[in-house]
Amino acid sequence: MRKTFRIPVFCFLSVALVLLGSMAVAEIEPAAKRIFDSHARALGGEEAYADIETALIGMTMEMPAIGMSMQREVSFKQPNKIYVVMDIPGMGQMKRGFDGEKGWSTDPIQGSRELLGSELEKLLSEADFKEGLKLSEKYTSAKVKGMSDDGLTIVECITGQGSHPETLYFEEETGLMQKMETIEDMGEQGIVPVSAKVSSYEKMGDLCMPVHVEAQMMGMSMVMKITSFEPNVPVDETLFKMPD
Amino acid sequence: MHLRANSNYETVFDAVWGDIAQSYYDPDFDGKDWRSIGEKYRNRLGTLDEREDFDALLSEMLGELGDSHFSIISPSFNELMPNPWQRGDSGITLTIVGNRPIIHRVRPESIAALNGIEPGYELVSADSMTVQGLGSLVDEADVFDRTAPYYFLKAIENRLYGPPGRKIELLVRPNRFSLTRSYTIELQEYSGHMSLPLGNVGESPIEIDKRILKNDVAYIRFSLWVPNLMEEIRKYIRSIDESVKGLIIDIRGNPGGIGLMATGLAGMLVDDEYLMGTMRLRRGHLNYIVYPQKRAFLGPLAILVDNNSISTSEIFAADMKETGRGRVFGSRTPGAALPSLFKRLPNRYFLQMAIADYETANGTRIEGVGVDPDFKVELSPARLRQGRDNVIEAAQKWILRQN
Repeated sequence: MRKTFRIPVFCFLSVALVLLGSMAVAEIEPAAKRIFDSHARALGGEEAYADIETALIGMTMEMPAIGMSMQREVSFKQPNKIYVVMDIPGMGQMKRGFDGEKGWSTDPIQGSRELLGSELEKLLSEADFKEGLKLSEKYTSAKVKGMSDDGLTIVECITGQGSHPETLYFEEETGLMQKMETIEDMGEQGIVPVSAKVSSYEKMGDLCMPVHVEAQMMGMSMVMKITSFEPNVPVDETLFKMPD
Repeated sequence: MHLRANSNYETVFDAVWGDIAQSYYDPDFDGKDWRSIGEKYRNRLGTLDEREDFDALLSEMLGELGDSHFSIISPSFNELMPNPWQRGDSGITLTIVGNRPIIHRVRPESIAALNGIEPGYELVSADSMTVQGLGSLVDEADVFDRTAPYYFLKAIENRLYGPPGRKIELLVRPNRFSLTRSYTIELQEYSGHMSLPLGNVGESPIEIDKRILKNDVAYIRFSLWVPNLMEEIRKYIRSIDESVKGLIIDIRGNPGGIGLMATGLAGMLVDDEYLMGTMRLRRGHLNYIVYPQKRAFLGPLAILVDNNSISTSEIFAADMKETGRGRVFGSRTPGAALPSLFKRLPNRYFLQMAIADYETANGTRIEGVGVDPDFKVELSPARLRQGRDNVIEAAQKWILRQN
C-alpha cells in the first residue's frame, strides 16, 4: 500500500514531480523481483484488490515536536480517480483531486490550480490503488544488498520517476516492507530525504495495511496512523472534480 | 527558582545542542565548530544556580551561530514581556523611528483617541517603565542583534497588555521639543481578529486594514502572515475594480509568519507561474513557487516596509523588488529571513530553530542583508501629527505617476 506508506506531509506544498533522468530499461534482479512479489502477496495480492471499486481511507498525522496534528482522508475510485483532503488546524483544508481527466490542487495558502505535467503524473501515481503490488514496475533497477543489522533484507532501488535511490527493507518471514529510505521528490517544489519505519501492519478485510508508520524528515519525526479503511463505499463523484 | 546542575539542565542542553547538530541547515556550520561550542557551554552548566542563568547560557550558545530565528522561548522572557495577552486593547499601534517608539496609529473611538493621544507622539514610558529601561532590558536579553528593534517594540507593546479595565499610565511627548504629558488609559475589550493556533504557535491578535485611499489607490495592511487572513486578503484583491489606479501592500511592522504565504499573495499579483526562491535544508531543498490565481491584480504595486518587516515580509518584499513586479518603499528591513519552526523542549521551553537558509530566485541571500527599498522613505512623526503617513503618500504618488 504505497499510498499509505509514502510520506504525504508535503501535500500542502502542492506536490510536483520533475523527471530528472530518462527512463532506463528496468533492471530488476530476480532476487529483488521475488521479494517484491512476496511483498505483494503479503499485502493481499491482486485477488484482494479485485473487487474493490472504491475506498475511503482515514489517517492521522502528527508531528509532536512542533505540536502539529492533522487529519487526512483519501477517496479512491477505480481506475484512477482520487480525492485527498488534509485538515490542518490553524491552516485549513488542503485538497487535491483527479477526476479521470483533470488533476487539481487547492489550499488556503497558495490557492487553486490545475496540476499539469509531472505534478499530474505524481497524483496519478498516488491514485493507483494497487501500486503497492507493482514495485517491479515502479523501479528502473532493484538489487538485493544483503541483510541489515536488524535482520531485514535490503533492496536498493532506483525510482522510475526522478531516478532517485531508494533503499527498502523487507522482513523475510512475512514478506512485508518494514523500512524505507528515500528522497521525497516534489518536482519543481524540491526534494527532501525521508526515512520511514512501519511500526505495525494490520489486516483490514483481505488487505494488509501499514497502519502505523513513523517517518523522519528535516530533523523531525512524523507519526502516521490509518484510522479507518472502508472499501466499496459510495463515493460522491463531484469530490473528484476541480472546485470552481 | 533553583535548578541544580545535575537536574534537567543537561537534558535540556543536550536537546538544544543535539537538535541543532542534527538539523542546522549548513552541515559545515559556516566554519564554526559546533561540537567545541557545545563543550564550552556544557562545561559551564555546573556553575549555574539560577534558571535565568541557564536560559542566558542557552541564548548565548545560540548566538554563536550568528543567525536569526534561533532563540529559546523561556520564562526568562517574562522580564522582557511580563504580561500575557488578556484581550485588553489600548487602541495604539507603535513603530520605531530612529530609536524612538512613535505612536503610528490610534484607533478611532478607542480610549487612547478619546483621551487625545495622537499619531506621531513619542512614547516615553508605559506602565511605569521607561522606554529607555526597556531598551536596556532588550540589550541584556541576548536577542538577535538585527531583530533588536522588533523586541524593543514588542517589549513596549507588552506594557500595554492586560485584561480589559486595566488602567495604564502613559507618558508621551507630542513632539521632540515639547514637555511630556501624562495619560491614563483603560484597556477596552479587544474585538479584532485573532490568529488561530498552529502547532506550538499560539493564537494572537492580528490586524487587517483594507480600504480605498484618495485618488483611487487601494490599500491593504496586515500585521502577521497567518493562514486565516489569506482568504480575506484574496477576496479584497479580487474586489479591486478597474477604477483603482494601484495597490499598496503595507507590511511595516509585520514580523512574518507562514513563509509560503508570500507565494500565495504573489499569486494574486501576477499572471505567470515562477520561482520565488529556495529554502536550502541540511539535506534537500524546497522551492517557493508562485501560482497565479484567478482575478489577480496586475496594476501598479507598492510594498511598504520598515525595520520591523521581518522574515516572510522580507521574502515577499525581496521578490517584488527582484522581479520588478512592485516598488518597495520605506526603510531597510533587518535581514532575518531564515525559515524556522518551534520545537518543544523537555522542560516545556520552546526552541525556535532555523531549519533552512533562504535565497531568492536570483540567488540573493536575505539573511544578514535585508531588503533595501527602491525608495527610501523614513516615517515622519511630524507628518503623522498632521494625520498623514509620508510613506503611504510617497507610494501613492508613485502609483499615480504610473497611470
